[in-house]
Parts: sequence; structure tokens; C-alpha cells
Amino acid sequence: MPTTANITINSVEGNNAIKVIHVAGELDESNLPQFESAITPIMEDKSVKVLIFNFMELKFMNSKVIGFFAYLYTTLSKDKRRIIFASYNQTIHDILALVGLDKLVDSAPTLDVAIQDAYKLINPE
Amino acid sequence: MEKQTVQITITANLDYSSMIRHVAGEVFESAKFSKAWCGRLKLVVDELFMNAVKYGSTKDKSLVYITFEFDKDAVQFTIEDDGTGPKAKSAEELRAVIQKNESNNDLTRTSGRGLALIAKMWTDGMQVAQSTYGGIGIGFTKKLENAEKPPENAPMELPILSPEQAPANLPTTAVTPTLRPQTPMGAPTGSPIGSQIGKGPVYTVKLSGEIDQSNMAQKIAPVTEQVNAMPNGAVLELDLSELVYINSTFIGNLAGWYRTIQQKQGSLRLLHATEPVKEILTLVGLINVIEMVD
Repeated sequence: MPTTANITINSVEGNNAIKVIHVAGELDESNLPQFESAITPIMEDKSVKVLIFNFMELKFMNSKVIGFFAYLYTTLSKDKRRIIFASYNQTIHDILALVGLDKLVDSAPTLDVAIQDAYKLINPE
Repeated sequence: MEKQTVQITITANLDYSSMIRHVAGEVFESAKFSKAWCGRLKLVVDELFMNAVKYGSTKDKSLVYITFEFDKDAVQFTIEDDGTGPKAKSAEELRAVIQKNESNNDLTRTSGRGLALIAKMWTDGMQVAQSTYGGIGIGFTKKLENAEKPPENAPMELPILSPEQAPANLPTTAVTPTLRPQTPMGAPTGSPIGSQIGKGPVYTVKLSGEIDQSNMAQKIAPVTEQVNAMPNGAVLELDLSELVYINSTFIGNLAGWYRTIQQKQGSLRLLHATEPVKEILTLVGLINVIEMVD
């Protein structure tokens, strides 16, 4: 009964600069390699400026996964690219807060707000 | 409620992590922990299971032995391995590692040894002993009465002193507003994200000595005050030349200042960081994010 996570990746209204990654289920060390494989192409595509992770249906992630997000954040930051975490629950918030990632990475209460924030990031006034 | 016991004997394979977490969640819920606390304690169980499988066992050959015991007051969790794993340690060695990381508050390593701090914040104590199965038995206790509010010392709950509250004796910090010619901070031209930043006045705050939970609020108050007061486009330099130790809570605050300053179109620079501080900043990746000046 391996840990399962369903990952779907969309662009926002045909705007390739913003990608939404919907993560449902649980993430831990057993399925982290598959998660990394799914995210790495987006990370390497420099035309993608903002990655929104929709955690509305994510029930669990552990410290190994946090380590990957920290790596993702620092890698993208070098090119002034951003991550937004959207709609995470208390459990996810607790582990993000434990390592201070909640202060480092932008977050949004809903996916719609995250998308609005992403547009502001790529089109600053 | 009489003491209830749930025991699981399972092959050492991380594919079973989800099932173990599910059982843990059911146990903690039965023991009347809140949903938030069920989530936290599940994470601790997950970390312990991961360590037992990865370090204490031979994958798919070893068995891992898990016990939950709970009554109306508390829950006790224990996991034992057979010690045949590639990085198996004795109980004494593991106790020493945990104790070392507990006292260092080293959250930068969030798995394995970082478990020490998770356990410290979210449980009422960890126990490590030699197991009759050949390896280590490690476990924790959590009392229901200690789970009625969020955990203490969580980074997000650190009190931020207002200027009025800041204690008068701040021997190791100084705030020096320094006006310098406006210099673009290297923001890429033509980039759709960001704009020219950090062209305003430069403020310097010196931090020195050791910063840990015992003196955190006092030490960081001048920095937080400066971050909140500085105008848009300003630069904050933190002089770390005499800072020899920082803990994870400081890292969380540093990340928060960085973000606030970014939102103000300003810049944060770290000056002359010592090697121990650089090491921690490297481990969490902030060395690649925040400008460092030697």
C-alpha cells in the first residue's frame, strides 16, 4: 500500500509563465522521487515564472518533502522566479512553520487568490 | 478508559508509511487528541518509522515492531528495529545524537537528527533504549493535557517586541542609519519580475554573541524594529562579524525579514558572517538567496 499522490499540472488561461501544480493525497519519501520527476521539468523551464502548488487536497507531507521544497525555492529564487503555496491545511502549515518555510514562501488561502498574486508578480505595476 | 494497546509488526518498507500514519491517526483520534495534534503526532510517527526502516533495518527483510498504548490521559508510541540497517546506531549513540541536536536546536536537518527538535516541540519526551529485537527501540509520550493548545516555541509564535517594549539594555546591537549613493542592487533588466530595488538609505544592525531561545526576543527586537520602520527601497545590512551561533528560530525570523524587505522593494545583506553561521545558512539554502558580503 504505497503512499499515493495525484499530481496535475496546468497553465493558467494559456499563460505559460504561471503553472498550477495540484497535489492530492500524501507525499513522503516513498513517492518523493516521482514528485521530483514531475516538478523538475517545470523547474528547468525558465519561461515559467511562478509555480503555484495547490495543496487543498494534500493531507500529509514529511520532512524529506520539505527539504525538496526548500531546494526548489532556493533554485528558483536565483532567477527571481517564485513559488506560491495555496490552500494548505493545519498539518501542512505546521510542518512548513516548523522550518520557517511559511515565512519564506508566499502563500494564499485559496487557489484564486494565488493566481491573482501570481499575475501581480509577473506584471508589477 | 482502560489502557488500550495496538501493536503492528510489519516488513521494513517505506511503502507502508501511509498505512502506519493512518493507524496512528486513528489511535490519536481515539485518544481524543484534536485534529491539529493528530496531524503533528502523525508526523513524529512518520519520522520515526522512516528512520527505523532506512537506518535500522534491511529493506524487505527486517521486521519493524510498532506499539501504541493509550488511555484517557496520554498516548505512548514505540518503534523497534533489528539493527541490521546500513546506518544502525546503538541506543547510546542515538541518544547522544538526539541530545546534541536538541541543545543546538538544529532544525536545519529536518529528517533523522532533526527529529530531535520535532520531538522536543511536539511531544512530552522521547525515550531511546536497546531493543530485544537487536536494534533500537525509540518512542515518545504525549499527554492530552499538554495538547490543548499549539506547541510552545514554534517559530511563528515568537513574540515581536514593539519599540516601547524593547528592553533598555541591548548591549550587542546597534542601529546605524547610513546614507550612501543610490546603487541598483543587481536586479536584472527587462525581467518581468521585480524592479530596481535597494536604491534608498542603508541601515546597519550588528548582531553578536549567540542567539537562541533564551535571548531571542531581546536580540532580534532592534532588527524587527528597523525592518518595520525602514522606507521602501532601503537596504538593511546585518553585521554578523561577531555572531557565533544562531538557531532555527532565528533562521525563521531572518526569512521573515527578507520577505518583508523584498515586499518593500528593499535589500537585505549579511556582512562578514562567521563560519558556523555560514554553515547553517548554507544548510537551509538561504546563502543562495540572501546577499552575503565577506
